[in-house]
Amino acid sequence: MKRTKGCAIRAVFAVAALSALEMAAAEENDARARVNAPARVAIAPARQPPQDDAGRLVVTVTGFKPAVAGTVEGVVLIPCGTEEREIGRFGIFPQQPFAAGNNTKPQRFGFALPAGCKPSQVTVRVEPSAGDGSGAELVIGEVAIE
Amino acid sequence: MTTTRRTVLLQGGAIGAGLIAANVSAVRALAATKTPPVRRSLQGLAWNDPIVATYRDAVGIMKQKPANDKFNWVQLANFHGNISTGFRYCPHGDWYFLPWHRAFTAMYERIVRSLTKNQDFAMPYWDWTASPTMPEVFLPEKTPDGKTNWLCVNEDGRKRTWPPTQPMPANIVGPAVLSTILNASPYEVFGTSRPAGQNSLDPSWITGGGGVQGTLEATPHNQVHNNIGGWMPTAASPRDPIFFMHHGNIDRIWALWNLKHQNSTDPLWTDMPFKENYLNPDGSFWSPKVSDLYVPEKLGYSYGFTQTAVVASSARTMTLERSLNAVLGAKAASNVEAGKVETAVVENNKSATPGAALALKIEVPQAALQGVVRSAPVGSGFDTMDFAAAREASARGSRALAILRNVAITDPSTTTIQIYLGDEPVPADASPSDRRYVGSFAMLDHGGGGHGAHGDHELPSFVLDLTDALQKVYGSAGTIPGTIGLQIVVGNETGNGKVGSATPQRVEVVLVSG
Repeated sequence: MKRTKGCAIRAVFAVAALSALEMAAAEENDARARVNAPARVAIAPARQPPQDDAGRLVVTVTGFKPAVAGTVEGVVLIPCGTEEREIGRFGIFPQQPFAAGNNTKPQRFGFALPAGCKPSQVTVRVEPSAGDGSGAELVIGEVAIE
Repeated sequence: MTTTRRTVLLQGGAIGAGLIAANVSAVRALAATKTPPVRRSLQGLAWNDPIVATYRDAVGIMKQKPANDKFNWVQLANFHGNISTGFRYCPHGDWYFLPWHRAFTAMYERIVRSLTKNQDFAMPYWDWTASPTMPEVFLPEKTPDGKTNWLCVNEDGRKRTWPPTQPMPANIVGPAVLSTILNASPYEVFGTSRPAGQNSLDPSWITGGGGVQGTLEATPHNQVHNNIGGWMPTAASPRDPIFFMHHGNIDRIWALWNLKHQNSTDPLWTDMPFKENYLNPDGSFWSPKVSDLYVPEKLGYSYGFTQTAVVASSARTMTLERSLNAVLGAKAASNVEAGKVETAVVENNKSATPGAALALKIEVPQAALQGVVRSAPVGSGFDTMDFAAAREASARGSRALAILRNVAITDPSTTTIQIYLGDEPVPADASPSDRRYVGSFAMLDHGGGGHGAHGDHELPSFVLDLTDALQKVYGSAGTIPGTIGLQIVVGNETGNGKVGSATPQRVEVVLVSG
């Protein structure tokens, strides 16, 4: 009986340790964007063919820290031809810290891809809408075309 | 009254699927239709305008109620969420975002009417695209007559921070953003998608997020909340009275989008109940499900651009104007003075039933039909958001309207009528993407004998714009037919309730030469 209990405890610890490692690995794979320090993220291969010709770029935000004062927004840019083109903006609402985890889902944002653009990476900038945006950080997870 | 080509075209340009009454003048018909109060833009409303004054008074009443009163301002805001525990019932980041907030705003609207005894009140909205600076009537702590301005937020640490004279940036609320929003389709791209993995109607799916936010939620919704500051970037955002001006505009944009696009028909969306998420003005719970929230008029308000429940329609469906022309007001279109307006009429006593579409053949003047088919397609105005220009453009082309007069509808509250062009049978899974699709309508006001009639027992009549479908079907054809087919199909948008039958007494096709 004691032995069984000990095994169970070891198993729980093993699972917990594995989960912690997985979360740490996920964190390392995420890109962080701050004011004047954009995140550049490779676009993941599509799991399914896009629903229309151009498809839609879906940016997953796995974490957020608001600015010390004021508000910030995310700006999504893709290379298109010889230029980098803004395809949309998003806000995190409510404007408070979050980290995707057990009880908190990531926030996901969809943007129409301009016809003829076949980007392989995306740039996400943090821009202040009010204040200077200091302290604000977006953690970008997967970016994919759906 | 002489019907000129221009009056017909301009009026017709504003009509896709609208309701008209039979055997009465158009103006009388509209007067007879009970229209709910129209929500108005805050633009141009003075501090003492009755709409602003009523809202301000109601907010004051709610703010001064005891803390444990159901209608206390903070208690009501707690349905949405609060600072310490975050969101409560309100969904963000999934496809329930729009219907939940429609009902939430309607709840406040009803409470305002009840508290102020002003049944004409309709919640105004802040059209931040047209007027991107903060609405002035929400800013000063006192009204010009020296009284407390309950629309101002002056709690320490929760004052709004957005500068009063600084416009919201065009890259979050400007016309280009709005155009992107209104052209987004289908619903889950426009109004945020379902939570990943949703497989049931369990209420936990409502508030969990996990969908992909469309531009409407991600950009103007989120960023106007955040930019305003104070309560607005928080889960307790309804504690700022400007919340409902913002969400009124979000709701208006959904209603505008519905003029051109259909909502999701997935039962995981349509059948989701918001159980005990809202209060009625008598203090009891109101628990609508999503399909109860499609049509503003059914909730007791209007944005002024629908007179009936246009569930889905062709790209040209816009609004039925207050002044109608002689074509629509006449007892029959054939009574209209000839000239550049030609009409074809069929009398009918057969019904469209759930098992069989009603197929009608209508002989039309070939030359006039050719003029319609060969004229250049006209945009709806959604592409440029310039409806006036679109209407002017439509006045330069030929048009075709179908008028279904005296339509008897059984089970009107659960029956939707779709119109298709052509003689080929319409498949059961046909949708508005079918090139033969003309438009559809459903009844809103089910007075009279339960057959879609109004209180004075007139059967309703409907007008639809045939032009787009005619151009799609016959535009590339070598020859123009002398007879066109119209098929009337009855169905049900939600899959709930009995599908009735529809019997138009007469169908008229009106061709207006350009």
